Amino acid sequence: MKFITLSFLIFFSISFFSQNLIITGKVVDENKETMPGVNIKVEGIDGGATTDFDGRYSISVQNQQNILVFSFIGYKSQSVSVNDETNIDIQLKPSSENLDEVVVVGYGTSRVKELTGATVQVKGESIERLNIPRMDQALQGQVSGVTISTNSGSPGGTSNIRIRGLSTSGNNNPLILVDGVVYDAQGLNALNPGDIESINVLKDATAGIYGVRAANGVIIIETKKGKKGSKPKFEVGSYYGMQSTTKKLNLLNAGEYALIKNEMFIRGGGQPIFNNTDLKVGSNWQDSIFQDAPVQSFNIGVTGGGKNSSYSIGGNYFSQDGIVGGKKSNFERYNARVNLVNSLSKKLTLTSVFLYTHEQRSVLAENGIGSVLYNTINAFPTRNIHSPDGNYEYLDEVSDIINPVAQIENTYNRSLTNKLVGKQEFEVKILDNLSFTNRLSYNYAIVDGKTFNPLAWYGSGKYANSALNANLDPVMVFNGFQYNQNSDTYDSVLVERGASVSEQRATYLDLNYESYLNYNLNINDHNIKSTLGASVFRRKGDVLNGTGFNIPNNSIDYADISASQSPGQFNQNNTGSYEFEERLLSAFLRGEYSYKFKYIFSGVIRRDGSSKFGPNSRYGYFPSFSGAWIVSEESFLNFKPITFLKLRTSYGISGNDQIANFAYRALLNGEGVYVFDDIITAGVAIGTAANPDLKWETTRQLNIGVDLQLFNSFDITANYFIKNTNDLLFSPNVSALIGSYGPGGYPPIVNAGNVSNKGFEFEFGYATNPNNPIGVNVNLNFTYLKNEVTSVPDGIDFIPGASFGVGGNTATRFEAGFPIGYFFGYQTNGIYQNQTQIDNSNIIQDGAQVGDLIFVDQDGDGKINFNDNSDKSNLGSPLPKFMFGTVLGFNLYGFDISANLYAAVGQKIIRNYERQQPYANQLNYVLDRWTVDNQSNEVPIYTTASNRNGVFSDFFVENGSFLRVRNIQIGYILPKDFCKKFKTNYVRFYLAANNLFTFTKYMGYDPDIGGGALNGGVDNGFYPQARTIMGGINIKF
Amino acid sequence: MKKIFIVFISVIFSLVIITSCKKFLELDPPYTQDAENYFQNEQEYFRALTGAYDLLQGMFVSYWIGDIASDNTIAGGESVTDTEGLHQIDNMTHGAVNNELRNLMRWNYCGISRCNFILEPKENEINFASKATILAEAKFLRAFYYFELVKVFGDMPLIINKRIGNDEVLSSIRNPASEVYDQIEKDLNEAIVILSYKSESSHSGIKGRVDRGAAQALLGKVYLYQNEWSNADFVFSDLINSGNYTLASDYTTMFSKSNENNSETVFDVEYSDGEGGGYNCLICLEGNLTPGYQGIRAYEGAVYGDGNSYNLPTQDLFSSFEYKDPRRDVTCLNLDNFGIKGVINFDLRAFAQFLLPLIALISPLWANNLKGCAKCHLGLVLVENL
Repeated sequence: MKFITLSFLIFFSISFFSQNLIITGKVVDENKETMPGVNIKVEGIDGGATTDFDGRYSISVQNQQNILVFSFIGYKSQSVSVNDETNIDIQLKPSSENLDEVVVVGYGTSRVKELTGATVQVKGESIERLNIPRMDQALQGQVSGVTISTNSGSPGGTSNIRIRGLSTSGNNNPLILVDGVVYDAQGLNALNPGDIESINVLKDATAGIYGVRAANGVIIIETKKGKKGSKPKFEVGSYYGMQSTTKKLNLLNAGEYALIKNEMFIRGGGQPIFNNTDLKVGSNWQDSIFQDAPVQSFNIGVTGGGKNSSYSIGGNYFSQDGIVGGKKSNFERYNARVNLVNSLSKKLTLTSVFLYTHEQRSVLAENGIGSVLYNTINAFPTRNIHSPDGNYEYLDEVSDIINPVAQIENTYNRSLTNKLVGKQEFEVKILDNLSFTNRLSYNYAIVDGKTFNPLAWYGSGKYANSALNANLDPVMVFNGFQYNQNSDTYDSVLVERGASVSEQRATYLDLNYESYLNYNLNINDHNIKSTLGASVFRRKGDVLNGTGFNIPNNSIDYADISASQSPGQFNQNNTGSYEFEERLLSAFLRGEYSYKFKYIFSGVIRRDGSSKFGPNSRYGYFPSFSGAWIVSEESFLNFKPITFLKLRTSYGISGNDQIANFAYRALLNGEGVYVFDDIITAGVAIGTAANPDLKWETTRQLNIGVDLQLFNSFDITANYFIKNTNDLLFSPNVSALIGSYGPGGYPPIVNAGNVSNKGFEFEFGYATNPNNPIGVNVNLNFTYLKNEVTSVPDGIDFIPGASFGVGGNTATRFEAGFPIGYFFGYQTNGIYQNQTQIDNSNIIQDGAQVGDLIFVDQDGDGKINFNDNSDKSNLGSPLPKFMFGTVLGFNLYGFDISANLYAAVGQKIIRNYERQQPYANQLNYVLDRWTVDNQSNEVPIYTTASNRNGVFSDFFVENGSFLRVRNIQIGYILPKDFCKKFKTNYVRFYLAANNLFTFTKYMGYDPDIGGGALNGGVDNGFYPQARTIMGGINIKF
Repeated sequence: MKKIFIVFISVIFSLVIITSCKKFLELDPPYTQDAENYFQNEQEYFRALTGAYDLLQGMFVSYWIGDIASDNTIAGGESVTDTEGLHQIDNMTHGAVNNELRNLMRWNYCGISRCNFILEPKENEINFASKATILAEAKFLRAFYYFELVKVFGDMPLIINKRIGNDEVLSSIRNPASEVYDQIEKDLNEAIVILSYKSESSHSGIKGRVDRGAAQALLGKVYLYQNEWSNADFVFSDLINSGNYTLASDYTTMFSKSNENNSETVFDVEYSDGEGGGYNCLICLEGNLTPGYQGIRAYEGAVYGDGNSYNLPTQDLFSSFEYKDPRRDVTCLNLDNFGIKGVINFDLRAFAQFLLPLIALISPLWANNLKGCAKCHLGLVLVENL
C-alpha cells in the first residue's frame, strides 16, 4: 500500500513536470481511403490508441523524442518520430511481404511469420483468373504436396484432392471448410471460384486441431468479405469460350481396318471378311462424337461497409456444354453469396454468411466399359453412322459395342442440386485480449435426379437393348400368377415393360455448433496465445427413389413417374430408400508460446467422440506439437541477402473418421436355418460379426521445414515429411473364438494395416510490386512423393482393385511392399521372331507362335503359368513420383501475360479401352504388328484364334507422365484516366486458353486420369478435359 | 472483473457438459434391424434360437474325427489327398493347421456365440411366458457345443454371455478343462430345472426342440467322461425312472428313417432333404451329408445312390463284434453280401492281400501309399494291417 502511494506520487510529479503532448492525425490507406481500427503505440510505453471511423486518432506522448508506431493487419507498420509536429497524418501501404499477412488457421488467425506448420496460402485471384469452374481443378499445380487428379473431363466432373499422397484404401479426401463450414469434396462443383478470397492448405500435423478429421489434411477457404467504412465497390465480369477436345486417338481408317481384320481372320484359320481392302477412309466415329462446345460465365458483386458493418454480395451464372454430347453432357450453375459482418456494439460482432447454389447437370455414360467414348473407339470405320433409311447403323458383330451416336440420342438424365451453406457467428470481446466466439453453421443440400430410359434397340443380341425388337415393341415380363377357372391352374401373368423413368431425391443436412475462446497475452517479450473450445456436429441424409414403367409414347415429354401406365404391382417393387446419420462431439485446446517472436512453440490436443466408432473406442485423443525458430531475428545471423529464415518442425497424431457408418455393429445377415417338425425353419443369425473396438484410421506425421526469404523478394520454402497411416479397415481372417465362421458368417471389420508416405516439397516465389508498370512474378513448386503399403493384416494377401478387359483378372492391387493400386501382371520381353527361337527357348510358353509376345518367367520354374499369379509381377504404379507446377507472369505497361504449367512424372496408365474382339476397331499402332516382312519386336500378331497376347501385361501399360500448359493469358488493363472517363476504376480485357498444349507419350485421350485409391490409372475411354479458347472482361467501379 | 469470472466459468461449464454427453453419440442406424437392437418380442427370440440350433447339423465332423482317429475306421475318400485333413488324422500326422479340426473349432464356437447372443444381457429386457424355456434351450446348446470342444481339445477359452472382439481374443486364455466342464454342468443343471419332458404338455411339442430328457442325458454323459460315476448314476436314474424311454426291440431297424424318434431316442439332430445343396459350404446344408459321403463309391444298384466312400470300417472293428452279435452286420456293410456286381475288383483284393506285403519288404512307403489307394477303392476292407 505504501509502495503504491509512493509510485503514484512519483508518477504524478513526473507527469507534472513533463510536457504532456497530445498528437492527433488521420490515417489513410494506399487508395487514400480512411482506415478505422489502426493501432497506434508509443514505443516503449504501454497503452495506445486506435483510429476511429473517420480514420482519426488522438494519443498523448511524453516528449518530442517519442516514436509513434502505426500498425494494421495486412499493412506495413510505420514508425514516425514526433519531433515538433502535433498533427501527424499517415498513409499506410499494404505489406508486400507475405510474412505479415494474416491467415486463418482453424479457430483463430495467425501471421504467416509465426506459423509453425507446413501451410500454403493461395489467393482467390490465382484460382479465379484460370476460369476453371471447379476450385480443386484450378488448384492443380499451385500447391506443393497437393495432387489433384480428374475423375472425368465432362462438365461437372469431379476431381480427387490428395494432400501428401494416398493414405488409405478408403476415403482420402481432406477436410474442406468454407468460412468454417464443413463442405464435402463431392459437392465442390457448387462453389463459385469467384467467391473465394483465399485458400489455406494445412498439410502437416498442425492441422491436428481438427483431430479425427485431419489425417488427410485440411483446406480452409475464406469467401470475400467487405470492409468497414468504405463506399460500395462494384465488380462485373464475364467470359465466353469455345471448347474442343485436346486430342483424338489415332484409330484405323476403313482401308487399314479391312487389311488388319482380313489378316486376323486368315491367321485364325478362317476366310478374309473383306473382298476389297481399298476402302479409303470410311466413317470417322470420333469426328461425329466430338463437337465444339461453348462455355460462359457472368458475375456481378458489390462490397463495402458502413460505420458498423461491412458487406460483400455477389452472384454468378456459369454454363458449360460437353465436347462429347453437347447439351446432353452439360453443367449449369447459379451462385449467390451474401457475407455480412455487423458490429452490434463495441464488443459484439455478428457475421452472417449465406452461399446459395443451384446447379444442373446431365451426363452420358462415361469412363467405363459401355461408355460413349468406349463405343466410339471400338466402332468399325467400315460402317456408316447412319443406315440408308435414316436410322442408326447397328454394329452387329460385337454384342457390347453399340452405335455411340444413337447412344447419345437415347440418353436422357438430369440432376438438380439446390444447396444452401452458411453460418451465423457471434463474437464477444470479453476483454481486449479475450474473445468468445459462437458459431452455428449449416450445409443443406437437396439433390434430385431423373433418368429416362426409352425403349431402344441397338441391334440383335446387344446387352443395351431395352426393347423387344427393331419396332421398339416392349419386352414382356413376368408379373405374378392368376387363377384360371377353366383349366384350374395358376397361369403366369405377363405384362409389358416399356420405357421407364427413375427419379430420386436425396436430402442432406449438416449442422455444426462451435464455441471457443481465444486468449492473447503479451508480457514484455513473451507472448502467449491460447484457444479452448468445443464442437458439436450432426450430419443426416435420406434418399428416396422410385422407377415408373411404361411411359407413354416412349417419349421424353412424358418422362415422369406420374405418367406411368403400368399396372400398380409392377411399380411397387421399384422403390427404395436409405437413411443415415452421424454425430461428432469434440473439445480442443491449443497453446502457443513465443519469446520475442523468435522462438515459437505450439501444442494442440483434441478429443473427438464419434457415433461411427465402436463403443469401446468412442473417444480419441489427438495431440500434436510444433515449433519454429526464426533464425533471421538472431543477432549472429547478419548475412545481408537473407531477410528471413525460419526453421520449423511438427509432429502429431490425427485421425480419419470417414469410415462406413455403423461398421462396428453386427448385422443379422447370417444364415440360421434348422428343421423343426420336419419343416425347414428360417431363423436369424449374425452374419458380419460386431467389432466393439472399431475406430478411426490414425496418421502420425513428422514434418521438417525451412522458410527462407532472400533480398526481401525471393521466397523459398522446403519441407521434408514422413507420414504413416495405420488402422485401415480390413476384413481379414480372425480367430474362431469370435464365432463368425458359421453359415453366412463374415469376419468383423477391423483396424489393421499400415501405409507410409514420404516426400519432399519445394516452393519458390518472386514478385515485383504489382503497382509497378513493368513487373514479373514467378511461382514454382515441386513435390517428390513415395508411397508404399507397409503392412497388411494376417490372412489378407492383397485387396483387389480394377480388373482388366471384360471379366478379366485383377490388374491393380493393394499389397504390402508396393504403392497403393500398383499394377500386377505379366512382364514381356520382346516377340518370338521365328520357330527356332520358340523351340530353343528354355522357358515353356504353352501355345506360343511366331509373332507372339515373349513372357518373362518370374518364378524361375521354366514355364509361364497362365492359371495363377506365380509369373506376374509389379508393372508400375498409377501414382506420380514427381510433380511440378509453375506460374509465370509478366506485366508491361498495362499488358499482362501469364502461364500456368503443370507436370506429373513417373505414373503409369493401363490402356483398357480396347475391346479385344475380332471386329472391334483398333489404334493404328497395330499397323506395326509383327509380320514376316516387318519383324517387329514391340507389337505382336493379331489373330482370331485364341492366343495369350491379350492377357494383362506391360504391353497394355503406358507411361503416363505429362506436361500440360494449363492456362495461358494475355490481358490489357486500360489506363486509369481512361477508366475514370467512364466512371470506372479498373477495366481489363483478356484472351485465355486452357489446356492449350499437353506433352505426353500417352496414346489415350488424357493422361490426367484420376480414379479411386484402388483402381486409379485405368483408362476405359476417359472423357478428356477440353481445350478452351476464351475471351473476357472484368470491370470494377 | 467478477462478471468476467462468471462468464468464464459458465463457458467452461457448458463446454464440459457438451463434450461429456455420451448418449448423443449412441446412435442406432435408422429404420434398420441389426444385432444391437434385436430381441424386441418372442418371435425374435425364437428366430435367434433357431439360428443357434443350426450348428448342431455340423456334428458330423466330430464323428468323423473320432472314428477315423481310432482304429474303428479309415479316412477313405477318392485318394489320399481327398479331404487331406482326415487322412492326416488317420495317420496321426496332423499338425497345427488341419481343416477338419479347424472346422470343429469354428463351428462350435459359432454355435456358442449364437447362444451367447441370446443369453447376453440386453439393454431392454422383455418378458414373456416361454422366455425361460428359450433361455434354457440356449444353455443346453451352449453346453453341447462346449462338450464337443472339450472332448477334442481339452482346455479351451470360456466365453460366456457376451460376444468378443479381436482385442479380447488376444487376451483370452485356455481355461482348464475342469472349468469348462463346470460351466457345462452349470448350464445343463439350470436347463434341467426349467425344461419339461417332451411327453409333457408343458413342452412345445415341436420335434427337434430340446427337452428335459435331452439335458439330463447329456449331463449324465458329461459326468461319465469325467469318471464321476455317482453323479452320472444320479442323473441317469432320474432320467430312466421318468418312464419316458424304453429300449427299442429291434436294433437292426433302429436307425432307419421310418423309425425316427423311436422310444429309445432321447435327443437327435434334425435334418431335411427339402433343400439340396453343394460341396462349397458343408455347414450350410440342411440335409445329413454323412449317408452320401460314407456311401459306396461308384455304386449302381437298387435302393441307394452312390457315395464317396468316407469313414470306412476296418477289419479290426468288424472282428471285435462277438460271434453272431446282431449289431455287426448293421454296423459294417459287407459289400459281397450286398450283391454288388463288378465293384470289387477281385484282382485288387488279391493284390491287397498277397502282393502288398511283398512290396512292403522293398519299400514300406510305397506300400503304404498303395494300401491307402486300395483302401479307398474297396467298399469293405479286408486288408490285413501290415
